[in-house]
Amino acid sequence: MKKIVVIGVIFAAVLAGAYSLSEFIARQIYPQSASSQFQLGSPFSLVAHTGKTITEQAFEGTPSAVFFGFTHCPEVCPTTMNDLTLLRDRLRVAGGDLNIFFITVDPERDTVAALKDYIPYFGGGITGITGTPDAVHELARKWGVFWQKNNVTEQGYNIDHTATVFLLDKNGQFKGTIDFHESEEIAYKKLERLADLDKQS
Amino acid sequence: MGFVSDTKMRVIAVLGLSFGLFLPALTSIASAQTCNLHLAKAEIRATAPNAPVTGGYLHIQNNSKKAQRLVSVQADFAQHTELHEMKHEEGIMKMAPLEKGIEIPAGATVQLKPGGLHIMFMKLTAQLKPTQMHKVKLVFDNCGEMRADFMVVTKPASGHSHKHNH
Repeated sequence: MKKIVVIGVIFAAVLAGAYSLSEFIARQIYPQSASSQFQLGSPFSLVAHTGKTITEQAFEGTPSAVFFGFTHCPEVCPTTMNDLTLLRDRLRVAGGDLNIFFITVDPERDTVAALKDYIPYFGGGITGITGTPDAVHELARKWGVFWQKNNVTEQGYNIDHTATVFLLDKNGQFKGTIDFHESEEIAYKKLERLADLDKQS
Repeated sequence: MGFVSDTKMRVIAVLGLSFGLFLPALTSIASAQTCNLHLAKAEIRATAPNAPVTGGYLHIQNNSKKAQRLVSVQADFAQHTELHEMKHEEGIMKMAPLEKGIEIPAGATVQLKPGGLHIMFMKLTAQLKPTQMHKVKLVFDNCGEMRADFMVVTKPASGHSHKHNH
């Protein structure tokens, strides 16, 4: 009887060891994807560029394109905002729609007042999001967004950051991304699919 | 192979030495007089009201036989400027200041364009609106100052060219 227990314990230990080893190997080979590792669309309460409180409910009802940037960004942020509004306009002509969100990774400088100047410049239908640094950074972390201050001088600083556009469907569910270097046509096809326009044709 | 006489050797040495000393002096005078830098497609990205920064782009063609280095830039509408290089690595946009400036090798064209090398205009004192023209001073290490007219545009040419200049 004792023998059986000992064998059972050893067997269980071997099994547990094998399982954790296989888990370890699997993690090395298959890093977890953005959707499972991060909590995109998880609840938050921040401030829109209009000064109003904004929560994850803003991502419901219409498909969304979400970009993390900052107003001291000379190139990729204005380019992405311009590109997204052009794609959105094209989508609207085709009968679809898209809400565009710009979430700052620089809440210290990007106050509501700063976003109020910046966001409407790129046209209507864009919502800027800021808040306390802790709350904004928590959201960025949940979305798996990278940001890091660099070139910190008396003139200010720059922020290296994730330049990916996150796509959410009308239920606020993460569906994919648009990469900075993707062509306009590929980006448009993704938005068409997001707006269910591809099923109508 | 025959032996070279001592006097012949001496003449060659003297000639070689004097050329060696004289030639660099000659070429540096020549390049200082005629820089042979050609500037084209000078553009600045239009900005949102009160936007603090923007990017400037241009093509610099160096037709001289000597490398030139763009070391600094000055503009009335920006209190500070830097030369930067942008890199897109694994989805992350990274920017690095180029403290030594941007070298334009002899005979080459360097393109400052979106997604790569650019002038970073900082602490803007005015909103930059499309179709405006702005004079910008470019300072080169050998050539000294050059002025260029930059046009403000919403979407600067990405400079997608099928030619690859290396």
